[in-house]
Amino acid sequence: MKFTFKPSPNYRDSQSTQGIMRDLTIGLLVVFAFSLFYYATGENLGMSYVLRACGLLVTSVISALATEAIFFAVSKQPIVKSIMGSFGWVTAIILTLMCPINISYYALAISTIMAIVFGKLVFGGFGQNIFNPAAFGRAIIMASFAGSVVADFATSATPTQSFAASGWLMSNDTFNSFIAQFGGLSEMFIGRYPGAIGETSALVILLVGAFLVYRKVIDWKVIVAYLGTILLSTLGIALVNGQGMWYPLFHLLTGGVMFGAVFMLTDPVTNPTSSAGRIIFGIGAAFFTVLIRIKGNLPEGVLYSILLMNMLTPLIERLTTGNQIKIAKKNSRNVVVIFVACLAILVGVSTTLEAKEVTINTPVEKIEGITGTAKGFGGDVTVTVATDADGVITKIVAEGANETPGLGLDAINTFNSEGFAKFEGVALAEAHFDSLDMVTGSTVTSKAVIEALKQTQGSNESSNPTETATVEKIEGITGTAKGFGGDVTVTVATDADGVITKIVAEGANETAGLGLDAIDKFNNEGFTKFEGVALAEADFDSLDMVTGSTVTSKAVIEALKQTQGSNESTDANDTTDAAGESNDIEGTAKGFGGDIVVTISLDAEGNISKITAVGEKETAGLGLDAIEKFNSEGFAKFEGIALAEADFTTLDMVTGSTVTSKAVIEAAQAAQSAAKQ
Amino acid sequence: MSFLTGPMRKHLDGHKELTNHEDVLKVEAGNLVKIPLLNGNAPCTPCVKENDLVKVGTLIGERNDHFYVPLFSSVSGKVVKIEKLMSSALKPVDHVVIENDGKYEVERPFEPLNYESATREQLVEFMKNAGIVGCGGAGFPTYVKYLKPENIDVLIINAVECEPYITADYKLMSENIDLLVLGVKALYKMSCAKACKVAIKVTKKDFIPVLEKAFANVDGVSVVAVPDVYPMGWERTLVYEITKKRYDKLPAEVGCIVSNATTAISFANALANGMPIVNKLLTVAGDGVKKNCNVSVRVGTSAKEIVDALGGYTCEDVLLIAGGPMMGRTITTDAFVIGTYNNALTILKNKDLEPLKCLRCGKCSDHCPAGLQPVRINTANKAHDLDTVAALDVMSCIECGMCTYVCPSKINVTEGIRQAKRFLALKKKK
Repeated sequence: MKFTFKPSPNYRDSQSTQGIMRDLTIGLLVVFAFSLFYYATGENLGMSYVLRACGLLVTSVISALATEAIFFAVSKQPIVKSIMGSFGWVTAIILTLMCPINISYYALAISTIMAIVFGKLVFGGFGQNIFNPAAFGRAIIMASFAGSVVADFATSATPTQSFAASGWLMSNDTFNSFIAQFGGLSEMFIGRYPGAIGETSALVILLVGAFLVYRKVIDWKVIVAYLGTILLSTLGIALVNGQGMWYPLFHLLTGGVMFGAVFMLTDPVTNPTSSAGRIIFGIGAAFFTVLIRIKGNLPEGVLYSILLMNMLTPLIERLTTGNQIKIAKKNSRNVVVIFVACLAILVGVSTTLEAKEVTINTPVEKIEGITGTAKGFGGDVTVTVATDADGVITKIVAEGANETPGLGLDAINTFNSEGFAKFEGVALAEAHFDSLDMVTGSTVTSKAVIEALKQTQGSNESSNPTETATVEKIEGITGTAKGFGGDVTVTVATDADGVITKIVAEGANETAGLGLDAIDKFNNEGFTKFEGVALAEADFDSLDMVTGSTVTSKAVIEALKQTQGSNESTDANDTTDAAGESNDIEGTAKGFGGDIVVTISLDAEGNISKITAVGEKETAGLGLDAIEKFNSEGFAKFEGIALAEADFTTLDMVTGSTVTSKAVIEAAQAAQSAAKQ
Repeated sequence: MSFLTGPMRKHLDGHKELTNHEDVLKVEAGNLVKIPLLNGNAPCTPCVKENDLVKVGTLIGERNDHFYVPLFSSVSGKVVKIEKLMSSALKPVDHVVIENDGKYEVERPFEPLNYESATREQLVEFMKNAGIVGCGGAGFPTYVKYLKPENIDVLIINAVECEPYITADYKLMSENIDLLVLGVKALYKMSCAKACKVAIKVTKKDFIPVLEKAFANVDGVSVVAVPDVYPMGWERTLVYEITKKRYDKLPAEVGCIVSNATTAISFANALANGMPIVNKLLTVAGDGVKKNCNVSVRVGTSAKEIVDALGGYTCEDVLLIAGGPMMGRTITTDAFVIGTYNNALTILKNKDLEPLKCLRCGKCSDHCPAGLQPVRINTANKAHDLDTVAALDVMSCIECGMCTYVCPSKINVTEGIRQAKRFLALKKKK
């Protein structure tokens, strides 16, 4: 008979670390399964995306396991047992879920290896690491492999990137049209919008989180402290800056907040061990997340907030040293002080925020010419060079809808507005495009533009016929609506009695093979049934939708309906001055939130007597104020000047409302040129 | 407050069903009865010598330091010798070895006392001479708590029995409900408390009405159902549960006295029958012993005799635990005997656990009923950072075993804390 000695207690809970990691793995795979579902069913996505996501996951997991196997073999530890006790696959899955779908396999593999080795093993392995290994790996990707993406998988700008480009402030109206691009806040909650593989669905992540909390795998206190602090601090920012209640919700739903809260901040190894410490940890992470978002250079702050708080964990532990019952008062005081301080700093800092103009589906000016295309950061960048009969450049327009808002897109805008001007008047063959001034911070886009420009020299006239060139141009009433990739324009030609003679739709930014095909189909077949029908009576809803291109189809219908609504009135705008019936001339240009109409009243001698700008959709407090300023002061200096001689570019721009100001000038110029005709 | 400290307690599977409804088995003492001369951690001096004749109730030893605790013979017969043997505290201790003549002749060491006519001081003196010790496991002399009760609001009768497997208190109470009422009344009188609360787990659904009925006519005494969590029976946890107050050293600071229900019954037995503690009701349970049930034994009966009466062990390698599996010690021999302070034997099959690395999940910190951070104490102890160990208030640890129990990596956390306590104690001595 053997009586073994074992120190008490000799009784154990059934929960094991292996069980915890198994539950966590299941939870992560559920999140991954949702992304597969999104890729399989989402518009413009498909099986190739599903396979890619699976491929990435497998790559990362294999890299992690292989790295650990080699490490344990070299350090002479039992390989299988050590791997089973190291849980490297959890790191690999989390890292994969944080990556965009178009990341290259090798970038993911290398960063996984770095995360496992330098994020975990060199510290002494599982349980000893200072930083969350997955966050460590993601930071490596951000620092070293930001451009290592495959172009076959187009990823459009994420809501976070786009919103960051606005300076984390937006007027309610702008936000409505902004969020509509992603299907609204509810779609963001469900998760069907572009983003990292596993970070988009707040719904799924929260459900999995609830399951893990129920299974006592993760501590709900970190999640509540983190999300609660983000909610309250952004609520404060919204109140101070006049943002709507959507503002805190957007902060919670966008980017990696939910994923970080449930899967990364709760990583037990890298967060404090005490309850009070974990609450402070969550508050601190929320503070850094919001601070980096609103004031940092990065669009998203979740990742670095996690790493920063990992770094502060020993400090928090020190703050909570002692008997938790005896120091309960001190702990609660610390928590309250830290929470209030974080809130106060964030709200205080937010008063320095300024809304920047955002390019929300800004339609690019269409010109005819030779085109060239090159890979930019997010997809293709197309350049169109228009030349006169002698081959001299008259205008250059660059386009790249998938470039990053605030960076690549801004660069393209800069080129269009300023950069290309120096080539105008130069013979295309002799243009030295390398001399184009690169835009700092957008090297990839800049280079792509230059490459595309050079292509136009090489290809010369040969590459002229593009898909868009095939659209027949007709005169008539036009209507425009948002399609999938940009504006879809419909032109309806009518005879003297208002009977439709022809309809032509155009939407160069629609997806090739889907939206573009649909437009072709409408032009060739769909529209014919309306020919001969009076425009006013045409039932455009009866247009046969094209399967698979619902968005484009709907946009076409909407645009068609617009032509009914606008009817002759838009027509009249163009004809008024030509007919000479009125002394008022109108010009229109796109402002920040919609059209800006400038009306120039002329006296008998053709001198300007009054200029009025109207643009109701501009941002309150910014664009609207600018327009009022122009009306009350700015335009005064043109009064009494002959319209033909007025140089509207001398109009004093209003700081902070550049887009609106430019639009007003453009509209005035449009009126000017209309008058000339 | 648990928001900042974690729950500090946890429900665990009590396995009470193993012995709850089994009848109590009377196990006769063997030929040789060995009574440990031990009270708590303090040794007692023998009052008998070789060849002395003793009867049931004869004084055979005394604790005579700052406390006085008498020890009595549990059988009649002849003292053979005084011998050093391994005790259930895992220490060699003097035992009075008595040759049991099997007659169980009684020699009352004191006369019964009517608690109603006696003064408070008489009752305390009576309790002291009857050798009543706390039956919660520690064996602390009970009379000390009642010496000078000042500003006592509540007398708490602890019938929680939160250790897994153990049902001895429950069994004893249900079979001696009259003695329980008598004992509680006497203690209530001695405590000068404004109220008396009998705390029992809310899961004892069938027994709560029985208690309520028994105390229905006793003014000031009420039955309180407390959650089925560990360590609900620990003084601090129980006092906090009932009064929502924390104290520094003694429950009297927040106006409480806590006594075990079994203590009350032992005291009542002394009052009514003039008998000290010579019998113990023990729970014997676990997958290492063939029959699980409560046994009634004479003090001084060896564990082997008890296990043999229950059909023996179920396997060759067992953990023989004096007490419950959470706080009880494993003893490396079954020759040790049952003392006045024992209430259970837990016998489990020995299974090896493979510990993993600590993942710093903090479950030990969240559940520590003393508010400690075991994971950090162990980390600091491994680094020989005794200043941090001291700052983490390691000496408040009562070794309840919760940290090891909850550890998902199956690390022996409690043992690390014990080691840290020893190191710190050594350092303080220097």
